[in-house]
Amino acid sequence: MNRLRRRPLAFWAGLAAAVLSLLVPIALNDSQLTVYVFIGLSVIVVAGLSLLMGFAGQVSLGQAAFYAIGAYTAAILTRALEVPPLLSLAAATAFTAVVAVAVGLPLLRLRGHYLAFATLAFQLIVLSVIGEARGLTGGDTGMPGIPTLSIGPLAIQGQYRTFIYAYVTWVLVAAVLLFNRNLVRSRPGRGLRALATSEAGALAAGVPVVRYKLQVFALSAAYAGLAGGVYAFFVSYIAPGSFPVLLSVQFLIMAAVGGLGSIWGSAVGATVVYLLVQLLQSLGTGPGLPPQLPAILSYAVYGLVLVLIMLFLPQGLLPAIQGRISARRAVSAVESPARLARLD
Amino acid sequence: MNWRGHLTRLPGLLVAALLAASACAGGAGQQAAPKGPIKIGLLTSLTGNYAPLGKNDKLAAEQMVNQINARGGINGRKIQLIEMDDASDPNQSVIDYGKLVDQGVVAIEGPPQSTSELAMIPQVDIKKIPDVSVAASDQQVIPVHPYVWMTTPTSKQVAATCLKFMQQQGWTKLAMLTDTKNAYAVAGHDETKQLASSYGVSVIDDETFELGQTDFAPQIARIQAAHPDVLLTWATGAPPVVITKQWAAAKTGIPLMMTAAEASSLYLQPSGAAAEGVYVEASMGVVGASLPASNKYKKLIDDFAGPFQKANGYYPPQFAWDSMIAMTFIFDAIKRKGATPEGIRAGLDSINLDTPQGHYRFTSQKHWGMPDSASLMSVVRNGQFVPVGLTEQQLAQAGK
Repeated sequence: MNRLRRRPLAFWAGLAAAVLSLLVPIALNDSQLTVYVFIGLSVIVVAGLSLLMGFAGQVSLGQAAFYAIGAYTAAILTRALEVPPLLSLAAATAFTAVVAVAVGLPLLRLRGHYLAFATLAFQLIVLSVIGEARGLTGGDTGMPGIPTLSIGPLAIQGQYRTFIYAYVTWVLVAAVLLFNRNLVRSRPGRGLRALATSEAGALAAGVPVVRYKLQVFALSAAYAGLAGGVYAFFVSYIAPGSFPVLLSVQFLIMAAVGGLGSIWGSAVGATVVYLLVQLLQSLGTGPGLPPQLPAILSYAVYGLVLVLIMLFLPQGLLPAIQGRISARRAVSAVESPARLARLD
Repeated sequence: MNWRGHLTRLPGLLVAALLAASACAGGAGQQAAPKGPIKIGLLTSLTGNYAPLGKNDKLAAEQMVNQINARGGINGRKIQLIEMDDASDPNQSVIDYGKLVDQGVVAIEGPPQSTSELAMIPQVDIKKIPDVSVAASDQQVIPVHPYVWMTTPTSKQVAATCLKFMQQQGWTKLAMLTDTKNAYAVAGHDETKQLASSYGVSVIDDETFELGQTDFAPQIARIQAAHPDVLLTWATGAPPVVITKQWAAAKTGIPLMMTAAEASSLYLQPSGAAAEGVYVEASMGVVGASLPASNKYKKLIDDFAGPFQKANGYYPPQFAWDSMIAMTFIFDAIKRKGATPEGIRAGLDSINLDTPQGHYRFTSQKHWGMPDSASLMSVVRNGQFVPVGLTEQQLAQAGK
């Protein structure tokens, strides 16, 4: 009870967010549900990326490559080898993490932005390999006919297909966010927080810096692999064109807008950026509107909004709002002796 | 950064964000009222890599809709065009198809990028709102999806036109330069390779590149060393322009050949003088200005090209013709079978219609149908596509 009372606002806000995001799909039509699913998948990827950038201080410009690896692994296992979808999804998640370890092992020993460049190159390599391995992946024409998610005879299909996928995504998002929350509170999490403040300091305090960095990188890749797997089952067609470098950049923007290292911020960042893109796109299209308008909205206005966020809320949306609220509460606490007494 | 701050607080903003989601992620789902306008969706690319194609899709579709509305609509009802921009992103096309369905459209013209089209086909299979694709990929219609048709020729038809012309010219040694990151290019390349021997042509050099490459000197040097009779380029967008310029600068004396993706002022203008003498495979509408008046489809071509050129200042490129034909099919289907998705499906399955690209015939088992004779070889002369290798008689018969 005491803990509840100390941070009631945050707790209730979180509970409200959870309940509301659970109820929202009931009110949405099918295309809005599709957006909901895509936002959820983005949240899962961004949750990992935010952890990697916020705690390990490393930037990945190739997160969409892990998304693609997850999608292709799940699709190939299910389609070609007829592995049950859930097992394929688990295998996709694990395999993506293994790939990340192989990529990260040499790179994370270096300081600076080597990982950023290497992951960018990695994505280009992955897309080329997928394009060339035509027998396995269908090449650049893509892979159609990926089965839907199913457990035994129960498959997600029919009229409520998107609706059920929305809840599958919700459960995965909740699991990923709670896992992140518990992770940063655990012993490795304390080490990670130390790492985020000062790498030298953490090293001196006995934190295995390289190993932790590698593990966070693998975890972020696993999240992307998981989301990619669900994506493949949901859309049921994948091609290298579905995972462009621009997608990696968009994940990066979502993480930065939400607040690097902010666990709930990744949900906020992904949602806000995704909806902003949708809004700008719908504003720009219509019969008779000039063909240049969508470009102005999607590039100039979108860019301007992002620049403004980075200028005025550089720590990200959620941390900024949390900062405002705690500042106001601090002031009102001083003004009200009664509250001050209760806090004591 | 204040770590404890964000790690222990819960996301208040998520609430607002999700509310916003329901507000702007699409319109309310309503079926078209039987007496109101007939809603047709145009899902195209107005931003991203495919914007130059999508822009012409939009201009052509709007011209068609304005024209038919000016004549009182179809069966007394006006047409309302609802547009979506997929930003050349396959994921967005999946969302946009759903948005159009939720807004009550009865038929859709699909995006110009085949990856986008292929990504949304599973949705089309589920939601059953007819989709006429203007993208070029055989995979869209083979095997048949009951609610997907395409206006473009198959890659086999395009390859055959190129090879037939080579055979006619007595060219037997072929070099190819292919964008390996482009599904249209790869499919066309593969078809050409497969069909080559039946036209007495052998592929003596098979070069590749990736979108984004700007220096083709290594490939050009190797091709030159192989001494082919002709170089066929399989690519779309900016690379063909660069290849054309560098090929002209290299003064190889070897003819250069392009495919329908370059049958547009978007290729001609930036290429400038370097494009003179380049062979470009094109569908009939693009070379319409050079067709003899005796060609049965000439009037259909001029009826569209005239107003288009007047409004936009240039002759309609390939993409405009594809979009124009997609709308022609949808209008015809509505006229014959009614403005419901099932009616339009039945109508599209029984298309038997003259268009600027010749006479199309669809059946429930064949969802593509540009006639072979509407795929022509042209050569660039004075910045115009001029048909080549065909007699006046053959030109008059083209499209049948």
